Amino acid sequence: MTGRFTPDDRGDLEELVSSRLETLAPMPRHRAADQVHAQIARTPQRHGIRAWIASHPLSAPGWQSALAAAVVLLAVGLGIEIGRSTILALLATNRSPEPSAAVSFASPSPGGTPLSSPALIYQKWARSELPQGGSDQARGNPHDLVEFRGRLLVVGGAETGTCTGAPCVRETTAAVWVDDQGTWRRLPNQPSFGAGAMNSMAATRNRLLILGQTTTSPKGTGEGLLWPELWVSANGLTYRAYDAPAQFTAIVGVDDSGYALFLGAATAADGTGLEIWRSFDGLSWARAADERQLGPGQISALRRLGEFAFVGVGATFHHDASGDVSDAVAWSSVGGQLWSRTQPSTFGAGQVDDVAGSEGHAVAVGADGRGDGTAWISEDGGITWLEAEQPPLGGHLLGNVLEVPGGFIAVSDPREGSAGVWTSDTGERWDAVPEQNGIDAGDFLGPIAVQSNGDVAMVGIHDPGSARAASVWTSAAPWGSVTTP
Amino acid sequence: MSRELVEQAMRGDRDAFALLIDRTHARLVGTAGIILRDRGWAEDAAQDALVRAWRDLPGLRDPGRFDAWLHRLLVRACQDQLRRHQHELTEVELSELPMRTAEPGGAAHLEDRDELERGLHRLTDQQRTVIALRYYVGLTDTEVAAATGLPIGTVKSRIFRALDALRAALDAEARGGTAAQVEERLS
Repeated sequence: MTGRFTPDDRGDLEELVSSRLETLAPMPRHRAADQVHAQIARTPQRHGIRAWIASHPLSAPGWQSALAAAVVLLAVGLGIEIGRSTILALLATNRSPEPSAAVSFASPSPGGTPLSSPALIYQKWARSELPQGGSDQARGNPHDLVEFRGRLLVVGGAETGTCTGAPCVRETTAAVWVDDQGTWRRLPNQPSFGAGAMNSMAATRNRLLILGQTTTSPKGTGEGLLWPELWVSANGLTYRAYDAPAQFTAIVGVDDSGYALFLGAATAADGTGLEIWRSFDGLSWARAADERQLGPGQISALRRLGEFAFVGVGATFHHDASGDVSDAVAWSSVGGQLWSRTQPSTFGAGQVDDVAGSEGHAVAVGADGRGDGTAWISEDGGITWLEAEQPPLGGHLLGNVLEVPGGFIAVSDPREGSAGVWTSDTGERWDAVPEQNGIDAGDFLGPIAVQSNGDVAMVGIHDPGSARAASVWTSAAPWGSVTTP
Repeated sequence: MSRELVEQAMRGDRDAFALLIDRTHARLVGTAGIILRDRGWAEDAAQDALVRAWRDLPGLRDPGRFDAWLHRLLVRACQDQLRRHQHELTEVELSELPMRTAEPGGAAHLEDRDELERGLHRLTDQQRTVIALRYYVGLTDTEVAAATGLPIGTVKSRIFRALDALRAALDAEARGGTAAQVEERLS
């Protein structure tokens, strides 16, 4: 891709922008101009203090004029203050917190059927490499996986092999891998795939949404703008790219009871506030909540906990003597329109990276204020939380968690230790999957997905030190098709 | 703008001000439209600015500064519109992006949708304001600073960054048409 403009041709760019803006600027409708005339006709001119003084020559002693001016100024000042107070009162009325909706959940057990512990079910893991295609130098960076229309899909970025500049900057392109009955293949580059990467996915029955970003920077420079984009697919094989309506950081899709709903958490345009967006088709989006409900911070994960119950987790920030402090936080909602945030004292300092659960029982994983990995449990749909009885030891940071038949599976950062996969029945106590069961020391494991047949898959990088390989690990459930959350 | 006309309007001459409206209204709506990216809001902002101008015109110190003063009122009216609509439930229809691969004869099939418009959406409200004043209205950096109440250095840096973003948008435009157009050509 060759850029049309170089830094030296600002004059040409300015000329082009000027001419294009002429075509972009809206022309007023005739009726609108009439409205201006009509309103002007009804609006008296305000002859201000200057005009008043000009039209009232000083006949009174100077102190009387000064007093009159002071009275006028005081009245103006009071007027402003009264106006502000009134507006603030109105705002306070509008900003009153929403009544917290009671959420009732039928059963703490997924599917209502007692299941074995995931430590017993998901003991053995098998690894498959994701083919890269293209240059020998090319490497894949898988970022997320999901089951869509009966097959597993992985998205991420694939290095194009181009390496320019010093230090070497590799360009990546959006990439999709699909599982064809146990064999992984990478989809050929499509016109909608640009320089950049796909980061996370959400699926309903008939539509797959992928969040990512592309860049139009000069090749190999690693500079330029990253633009948030959304890819939409109806079959998992062909994709169309769209301008994302916001800087999404997390997305979730639900599909049952005859309707589909996507929720996206985004960082507001000013870079500090939070927003939640809703869409029923993935193409038309409406902002459901903003900083007034959500506060500042960042939402790392957005999940569904019940039929209409959603939870988001992440971090917010406060400032104290030691500087900016990150506070772990969760947001909960019934329906995805109105949201409420947990009190900062619920979690304390730290950050929540992911959350999973169903029917009100939720497990969140992240780091506490000391940077040690931990887990939290909620039994009321994410409204209140308690720290797990025995989180993974040794400072393992759990980055992703998923509810699976029988309990929960989480993965930890391999830099903090050797074990990467953890299992738990309820989220209270965690056990590491032994390395010899298919997980090697140094494997960098990412998002997890449970398939409709109960099999669990994880995506990540296998890195024994000699050569890294984008991989998918799977563990088969020892039964046929089951109903999973 | 005619100084005499402004002075007449300052004295309360509605006909004179009506002439001023006729001469400025379209440009004000266009400028506000670039800043706000919404025709309805732009018309409201232009109307607010003109009504405020009529109301406060007697307080204008220098009739020769009418244009600069009006631009300042317009910028404030646009800011008011943004504040008013900031937290509204807004519906956004996604726009399909252009294809990334070069097609034979692709230059002849450039998409209808203007990538500059996409670039404008990417800018912050403040960046769109300086771009509109600088390249649509045609003000100098100093005049933009006066209209926005910003230091000249801030104006220059905002223009620089905004141009950088628009450059990227126009770069993207050079890459081809929409997926639908390409699929149509291939079918």
